[in-house]
Amino acid sequence: MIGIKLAYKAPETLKEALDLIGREGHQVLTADQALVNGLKKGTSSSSLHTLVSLRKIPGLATIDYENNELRLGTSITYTDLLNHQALAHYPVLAQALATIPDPHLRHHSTVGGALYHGGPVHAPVIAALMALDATAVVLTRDKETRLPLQYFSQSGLRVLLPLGGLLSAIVIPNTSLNASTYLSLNQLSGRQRNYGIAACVAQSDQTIDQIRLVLAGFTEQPIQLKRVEEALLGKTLTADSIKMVAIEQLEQVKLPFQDGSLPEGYQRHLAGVALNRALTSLAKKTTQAVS
Amino acid sequence: MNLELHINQTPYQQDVEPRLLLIDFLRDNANLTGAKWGCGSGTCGTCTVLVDGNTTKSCQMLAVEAEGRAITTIEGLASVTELHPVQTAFWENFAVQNGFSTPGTIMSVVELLENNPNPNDDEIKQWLQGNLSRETGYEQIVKAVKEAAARLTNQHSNGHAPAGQGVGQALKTRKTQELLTGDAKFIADMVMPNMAHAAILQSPHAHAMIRSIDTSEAEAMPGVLRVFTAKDTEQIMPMPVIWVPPFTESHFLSHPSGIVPGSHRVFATDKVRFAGDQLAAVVAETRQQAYDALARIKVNFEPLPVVLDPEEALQDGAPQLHESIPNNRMLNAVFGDKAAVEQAIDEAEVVVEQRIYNQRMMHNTLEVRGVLGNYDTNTNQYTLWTNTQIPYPHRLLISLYVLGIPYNSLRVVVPAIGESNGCKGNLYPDTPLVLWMAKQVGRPVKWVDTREGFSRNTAQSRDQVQYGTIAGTRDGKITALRCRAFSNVGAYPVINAPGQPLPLIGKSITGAYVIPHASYEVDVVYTNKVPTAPMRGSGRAEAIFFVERMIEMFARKLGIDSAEVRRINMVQPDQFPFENGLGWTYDSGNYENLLNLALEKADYVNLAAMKAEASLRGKWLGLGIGSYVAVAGVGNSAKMGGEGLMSGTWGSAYIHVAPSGEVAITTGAQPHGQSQDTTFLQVAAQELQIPIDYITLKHSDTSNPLYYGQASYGSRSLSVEGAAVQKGCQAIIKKAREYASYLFKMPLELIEYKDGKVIGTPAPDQAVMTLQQVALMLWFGWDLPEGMDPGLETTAYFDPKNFNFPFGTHIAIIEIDQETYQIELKRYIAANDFGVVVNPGVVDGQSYGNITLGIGQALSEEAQYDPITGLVLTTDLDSYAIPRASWLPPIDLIRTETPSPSNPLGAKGAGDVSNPPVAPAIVNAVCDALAELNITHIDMPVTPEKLWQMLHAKQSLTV
Repeated sequence: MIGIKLAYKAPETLKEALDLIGREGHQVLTADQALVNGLKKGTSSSSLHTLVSLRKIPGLATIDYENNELRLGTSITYTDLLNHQALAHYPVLAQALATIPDPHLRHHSTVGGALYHGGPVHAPVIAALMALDATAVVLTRDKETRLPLQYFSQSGLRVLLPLGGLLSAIVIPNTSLNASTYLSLNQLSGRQRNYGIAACVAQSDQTIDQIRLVLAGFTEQPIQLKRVEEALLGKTLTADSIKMVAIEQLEQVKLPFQDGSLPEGYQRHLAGVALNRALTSLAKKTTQAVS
Repeated sequence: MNLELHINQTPYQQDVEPRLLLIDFLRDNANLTGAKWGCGSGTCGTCTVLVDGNTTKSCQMLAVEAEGRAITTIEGLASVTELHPVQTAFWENFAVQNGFSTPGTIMSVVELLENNPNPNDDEIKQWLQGNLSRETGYEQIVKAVKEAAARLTNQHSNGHAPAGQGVGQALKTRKTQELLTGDAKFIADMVMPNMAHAAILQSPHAHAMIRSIDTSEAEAMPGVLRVFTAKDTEQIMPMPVIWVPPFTESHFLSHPSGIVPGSHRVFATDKVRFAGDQLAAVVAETRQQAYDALARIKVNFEPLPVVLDPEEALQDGAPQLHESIPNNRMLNAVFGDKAAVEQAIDEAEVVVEQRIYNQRMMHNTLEVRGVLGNYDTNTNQYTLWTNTQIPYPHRLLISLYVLGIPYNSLRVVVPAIGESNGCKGNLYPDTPLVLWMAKQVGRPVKWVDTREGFSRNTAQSRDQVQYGTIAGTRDGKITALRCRAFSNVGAYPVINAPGQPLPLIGKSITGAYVIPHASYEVDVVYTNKVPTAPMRGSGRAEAIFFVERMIEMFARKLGIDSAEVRRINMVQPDQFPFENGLGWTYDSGNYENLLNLALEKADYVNLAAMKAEASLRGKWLGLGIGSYVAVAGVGNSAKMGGEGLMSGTWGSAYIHVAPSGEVAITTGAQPHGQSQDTTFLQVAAQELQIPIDYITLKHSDTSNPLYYGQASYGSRSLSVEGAAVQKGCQAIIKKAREYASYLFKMPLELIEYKDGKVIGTPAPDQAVMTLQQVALMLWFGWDLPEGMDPGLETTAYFDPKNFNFPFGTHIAIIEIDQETYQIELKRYIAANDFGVVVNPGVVDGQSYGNITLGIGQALSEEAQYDPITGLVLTTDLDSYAIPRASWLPPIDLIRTETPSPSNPLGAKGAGDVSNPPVAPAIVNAVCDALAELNITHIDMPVTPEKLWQMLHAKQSLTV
């Protein structure tokens, strides 16, 4: 049962949708049903009174290659994504999606919903997309803007979509990555948050040219470990560099943990384990690729 | 809004509110109630349907979002002539117990097998992460899914060979088809003409004075019929207390009836004592309107300090819950000879002490509680439908002690019931309230709780602090065991809660061992938590956890293998009947045999090698043992009376053989997933020697022809109620033989009963009548022997002279990740003896359910409270994590059968008794894994963060 009264609109064009979502109290429903839970628990915005469903607007549930970019429509579900052949090129994303075993969540979670609603279910996917340097295509009535996914995570705190903006797609740029991985620490699924880390690396001659490390589940929104990334540039991934550089730098990163019921020390310890394991995995993969 | 969609290939078109959820549309608008409302947050999966073929939690989707889609519900799965192969496989593999979660799980499996025709165990368990099975566990479900896969891919020829119908056969369960098809009606599925709906306001404060309640705004809301508060219900008596042991020191005043008025009223009057205390109720045309109006009631509180810990609550100056009860002490009781125990401890060579906290658990049945009340002004009859374990006690307590209405004017009916775990064995204030409101508004009134409401108003369990001392000799002989306990029973005494922490724990703490000196002293204490009640494994779980942990620590201190210490101290087969010194007389068994069988299965001799191998993988491996003896089969009425339980505990059965030959049995048992509809008929069919299909079992309705019914709890059904069925069948046969003796003019000893016939053995071809013919002749009653009444019917009662004592040993093998401290169950072995087993498929299912619950207690479950406000924090199944399919390792079941002398069936309890060894086995395994790190004990739930804290603290100390 939902306690608040709601109006519901299902426009058939983007223009109609943009007209609606610029108004106060209007919330987009991308087919992701995470919002429904919030409505039932009364945790959604108290000013919300109208849902704007995108389900009738054509072209928002497609996956396309355009200009060497992979474009994921906002209403693409995780199932659609998992079943798409393009996913083979993005192991970090495939592995992140695989951490969500519940078929309902796969069928009714969308890439757009990930940014509209946030929440623990979406954290692995957002982390993977951040690690892939994905951008969000945000439409307003007069323009189209591309925002890096990092925009939506201010030091691990969730940043909402710009007012009146409609997220039409998420775009993954062409990648020159040598290796990527999503590593989950979750075992008794459901007992605790889905902790994990997305990691991608581009190397030449065993030297790191580019690296992305994004922790998921620890903070409200996945958090990019820029300090660690910068420290690793130009280095080779070895047990020593992982321990002496990466883990040491991680200790300096401010992590606003969201789960107050767990000791911060334990969460920080887990973050270190995740980072260590992800980098070790990348090191192994890149070594294998070379040999 | 106009909504058009297809459900089960039928077009639907209706005008709906945008906020209407798909589940509510299906259930309320389309009258398809197979999808169940469970958690409401998309966790449990009971509401699962297929939307365009995709698994969908219908509580997580707006109905309007299903516009133009094709919905398949459980009702659309079977054809007119046969069940879907998944449904058939679930039935044949005993994957259905109470059936509440069955439709949702089946729908999810249907999609799995569409996508993956041959899934392996891991794939099935992963897919079912979103479908919880609280009572049944997952083992039989996984098996069923694999068999369904084989059926769908034509690898499975023609199903299982039909089992025989007699005792010991895994006969397919009866009354199961309606659970598989979604046709079974649970309380939330019930509808009556002109039915109104109720919502109940719960206190948001754990302790506060009520200054005022303003209902005016709520009364003016659309659809509202009435709003009730305490000023309307002064004539309703508080909930009675039926179990106050007479040997205790308590605040309860004696009452002429023996049943003591408690203090928990339908509405709090001047003060609330826990966050969940009822304050007001709205009755409205629709459930939505009732809840909308509820939100408009304004209550002015004056908050008071909160106390949540029983030891703190006993201190002088602690917040006082009830004015007349000093130090919040409900009662104090002692079992055993304290002085002798003290002396034995003083004289012992080795003494180990440990504080143990058996945490507060929530029953969290996937089905919440609900009530439908009706008062018929024409007949002056009240009818109460509710999902309770105890319909007959409800009838007595509500009529006589709460509402003051004639006993004969109240009928209590139990619809299909979605498990209980013990929490539905109480009388809650909401239940008589709804019935009373139905009379006030002159219409049927239904109230079905929410998940959040359930977390605050439905009894919780366990929650006991234990200070343990174990003492013995250096060679491993235990000489003394002492437990000083503090039980937290929450804010009010719920009907049987005061007695629960007493004998069931106090007399059980010696477990499977000969311990010459043992004592248990408990203070039962009020706090501002939700009231408590028994939970599956009740009392025995706390006791077995205590003794199994203490013996493990004792063995470690001695440096002796803990299995060997168990052997040294176990009750031996030649010691039965064995008095345990605290009040129980163990009946029969070979405890050491099951210990040895379990150890052998676990490859115990190679434990060191297993540990070494795991260590190479960065894991600490541990093996834990949980041996148990659990009292079951309540019980001997006189003994229970001596314990202060104001209730007879007789088993009862009314049996009548119709002139058609059909046999109808009414039992005093109250099935809620235990399959008595099958097992009791197996007993009857074996006794009467007729086809089982001739027999039906009635229950769940106090208007059935049975004077008295005690119900199902504490693993008593088969050994007590089933024994009454057996006794009744024997009485039927006796009368049939006596009648045949008269008709055939032969001495009684020459009348044989065989294959459902009475046979005069001197002339077996001529002097023979079927049971049906006997029943017909007795129905006519034309020619009866002197003193014989017409009809072939009887009422049988059975009262065992002693309880029965199932036993066994469970073993858990776990691994702990040395970096993350995550705990993974690798293997589980459960060796049990339930005496004579009537249906192995049913009993195995109960064992899997017990293991699942025990895993939850050991590793994840705990009712959490805000320490300042006293609010329950675990209000849904996200914050209160119950085990999911992927948590469970392969489970090996081993079973021996040692008949109990306590009943003629030789049966022992099975429903909840194999829960107590689970948690200690797992925690012992964790402590074993961390033995080298000098971890001797850790309180449940054992979580990675707790392990990290303990080990981190040790490291810090070392540094």
